[in-house]
Amino acid sequence: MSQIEVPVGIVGVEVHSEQREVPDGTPPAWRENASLKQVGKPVPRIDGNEKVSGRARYTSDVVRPGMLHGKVLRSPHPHARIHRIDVSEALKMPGVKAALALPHLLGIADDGSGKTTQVQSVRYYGQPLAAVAAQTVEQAVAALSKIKVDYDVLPFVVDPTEARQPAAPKVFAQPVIARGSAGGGGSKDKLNQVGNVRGPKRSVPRGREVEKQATQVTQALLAGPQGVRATYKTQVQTHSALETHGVVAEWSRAGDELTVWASTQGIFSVRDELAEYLGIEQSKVRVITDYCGGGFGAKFGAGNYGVLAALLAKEAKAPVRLMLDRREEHLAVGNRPGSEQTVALAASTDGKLTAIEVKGFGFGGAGAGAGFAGPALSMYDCPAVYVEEFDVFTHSGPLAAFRAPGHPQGAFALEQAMDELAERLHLDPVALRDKNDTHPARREQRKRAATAFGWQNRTATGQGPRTGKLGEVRRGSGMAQGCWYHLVNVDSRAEVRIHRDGSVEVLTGVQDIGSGIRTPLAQVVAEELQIPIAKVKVTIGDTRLPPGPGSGGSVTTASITPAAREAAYAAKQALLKELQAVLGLDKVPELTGGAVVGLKAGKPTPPLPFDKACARMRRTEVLGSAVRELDYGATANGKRGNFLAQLGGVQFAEVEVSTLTGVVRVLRIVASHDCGRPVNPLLVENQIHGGIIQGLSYALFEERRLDPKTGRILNGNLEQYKIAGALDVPKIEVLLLEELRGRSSTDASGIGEPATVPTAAAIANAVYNAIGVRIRELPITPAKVLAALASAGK
Amino acid sequence: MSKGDPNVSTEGSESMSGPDASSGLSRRSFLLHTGGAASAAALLTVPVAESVAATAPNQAATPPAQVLGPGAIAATLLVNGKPQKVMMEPRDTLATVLRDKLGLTGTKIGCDRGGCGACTVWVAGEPTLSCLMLALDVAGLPGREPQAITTVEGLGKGVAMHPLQTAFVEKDALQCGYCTSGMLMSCAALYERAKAEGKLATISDGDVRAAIAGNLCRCGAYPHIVDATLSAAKGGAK
Repeated sequence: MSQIEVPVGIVGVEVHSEQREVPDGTPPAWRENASLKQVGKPVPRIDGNEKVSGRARYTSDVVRPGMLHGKVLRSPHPHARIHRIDVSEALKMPGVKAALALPHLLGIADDGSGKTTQVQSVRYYGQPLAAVAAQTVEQAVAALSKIKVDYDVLPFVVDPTEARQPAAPKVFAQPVIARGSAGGGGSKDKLNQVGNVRGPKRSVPRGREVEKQATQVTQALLAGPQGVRATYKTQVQTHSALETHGVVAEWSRAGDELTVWASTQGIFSVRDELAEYLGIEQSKVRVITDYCGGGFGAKFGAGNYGVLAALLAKEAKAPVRLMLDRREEHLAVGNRPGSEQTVALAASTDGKLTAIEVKGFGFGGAGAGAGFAGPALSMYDCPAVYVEEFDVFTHSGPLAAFRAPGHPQGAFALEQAMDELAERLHLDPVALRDKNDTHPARREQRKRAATAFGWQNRTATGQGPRTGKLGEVRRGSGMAQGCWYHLVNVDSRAEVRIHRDGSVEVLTGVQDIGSGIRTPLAQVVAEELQIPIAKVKVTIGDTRLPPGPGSGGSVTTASITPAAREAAYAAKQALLKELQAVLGLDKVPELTGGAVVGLKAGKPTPPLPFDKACARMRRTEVLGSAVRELDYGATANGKRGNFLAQLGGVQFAEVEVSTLTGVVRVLRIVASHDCGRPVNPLLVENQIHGGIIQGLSYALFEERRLDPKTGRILNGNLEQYKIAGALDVPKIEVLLLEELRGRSSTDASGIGEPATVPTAAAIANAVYNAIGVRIRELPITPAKVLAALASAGK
Repeated sequence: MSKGDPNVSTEGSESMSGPDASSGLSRRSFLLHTGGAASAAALLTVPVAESVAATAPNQAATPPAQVLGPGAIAATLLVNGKPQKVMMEPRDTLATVLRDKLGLTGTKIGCDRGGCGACTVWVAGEPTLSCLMLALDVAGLPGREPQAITTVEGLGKGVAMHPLQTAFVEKDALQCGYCTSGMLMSCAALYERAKAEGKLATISDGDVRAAIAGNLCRCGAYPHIVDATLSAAKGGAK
């Protein structure tokens, strides 16, 4: 081990040096971005031309010789027992080459029913049961109708309130467990389960005792003297990536090796799950993702469609493409679960929080782990914090990780409660947070964003400017903040090859889901080797490459850029040693100003430009390889309550609400965020825009609707499942911090998730400020606004 | 062979003057008879020569029509300036023919029902949802010229990118890229229309948002898309 000096602090506020213990051979720390040539610059994404020309190849574009098309048979009943699935008639249909039943269902809470030859029970409308592969999609669709399924149709429940009743039909007869994905989610094992209600999962901030905190919270809530208590509800949101889930599966001629093109956030998670399911070795499964048309948490693992495609391809002895359609996308491949949370806060009269209590239910359909505890556990310095979460099962599609799982829900409740408390205490909402939140990034973000927003001009509740012919349009402002975690996946390795002609390759098995990871990889390698970015070729998206992290939890940049930089550093050392030998230098030369300089017989050698230096190599390439180690000082990362590992984010929103129509329009949002060292501010800004826009869409429009009478989806499309469009999007101003923490050789962190956490709460608080009536339920539709105004007599 | 039997396969152009041509069943009347429900997928009739109707208005009520389909028919698509003979079924949408028959996978299908705009191409220069357009409706058939289709692959001139493609990269007007082709076709149509009218300099933020009102971007790259279009317009106006 050795010591290095690292810069620590927020650039523009205060930066100082600290020592870190690091493994030998660690490159020296970079200073602030202003001192760097490639890193920290708004470099256009290097694969942009592929995407704007239509050349980028997505899974849905892959065509293989003799390729068949797969379609999935889905249950028309939300709850049933299955006796028999007979595909024999389907096999006789024109063009059909394979038909089979799904042996074992993935993506649902596990009730311990073992692997069989077909799924035995249906627990949601749209649950996959069987599939066919045919020469055309139309033939496959036609053949599905010939599959015979003997169902015992059973009573079901899709309404989460009804599901809590003791007599409600049970989704699971046995206690379940739920593993998370690389994107998050999952649930604690061995929780109590009565009927459809599983829990409570009891949580307190890290390092505190559950029983003591529970007691202390109860006492503080009784003691007051100030407090608020209210119940907040959030809806089910679907991921709705524009490219649907799907794969192309192709077996080798011998039938022992499988290649899969997948629209995924985690190529290795697809490989591992397929290998496990199919009982073949991981080395015999190759997964390729050149481009993925969006992934917001639900694209991990093989998926039932992936398993079915692989099985169909095996049976048909031909490649099979199986892409879901838009309706299937809403039904069966995950969602952000709904919630109902009761938040109670207690505070001293001067606004110091004395208790935070959140108790409530998560509605993840046939999936477990629909929690929301994160913000309550992490955000505020409060001596007593206690969260109790129950899962309520219903006969509907299971949840999946979705961009900051649990956090937009948790923030929607907690941050409105804080707004309500501020009003009760006659305190400014920003001031209340300043009193209770010492997170250094958020403190600075509140300051910067409030100034940029013009927060000092905010008017009292319901007193904002009125426009419209009748003065019916009210304006208001609100703010909220969020948290996420600096998470790192150490299962990340990168290789850098320097070729004799001076060109450079970076190879690592990450995948681009839209955040554009190829470009930061090229930037950090170009920075280390002092070469133009155009000299760096980045190859990703293939499990034949060194393992990369799954793109979930906002871990990608934080995990893989240090490995890439260190691999480049190692390759550089190998090159310099090679030059010492070839040129007969006194010692290992240095790369400086883009040229190699050494000493020969005590005299400096003339600077040898990088490409000319490479040309002197005896072998065709030198190689550097590095794995992502733990953060410097072996700090555990991402643990809740650990401020050093927490990411912030503060957003201010201005809205207009028509009291005549109930329509809410967001006029502008000012957002300040941190992501450690921003490697590429252009891409980071785009991510922040995306998080805010998804948050706005969640706040105002999106809601998966099920018919309580039939259990079927009512809006399984993109017209009635409404997603924010360009005309709904306000002016967004992004204020990005450069926050150095001396954690790794790039000191980068993630941004995709934190950016979406506070938005809905900020908008809700702004709506309250505009009309003086609080909407505690998402989405904030015109109907809800009008109903709230009516019940308040306004 | 009964008239309008959907099981009758009409292969190629030879049989287009076969007995069914006298059915007198125009597309509109067929749609009226069937209530318009999904009938186009099974049967499509095409007037042999629209010019006949134009020059002889008195006889225009029942122009001789031909029944095509339901099997595949050879027709010509004029895509990115190149006429191409393609076998297509009457039920095939332009989006699927472009992607599956011509390998032009730049055009994406996000919802297959006109809800997302990912499939936007130009038909005769106008942004059109290719998932809601039957390929035969824009294809060339004997007596009818094909309409000009432009896809993202044909947006630039040769290897040179369209100014909007360049601006999309520079301003990072995309994330996953799946909506990008459709976005580009909508934005570039606005750009070209304004350019033709000499009004590039006047394109506003609101104009761009209106132009892409039918294009969803789930990643939320709208602000950069607007920036990129305004920047290209500014550059093109110089």
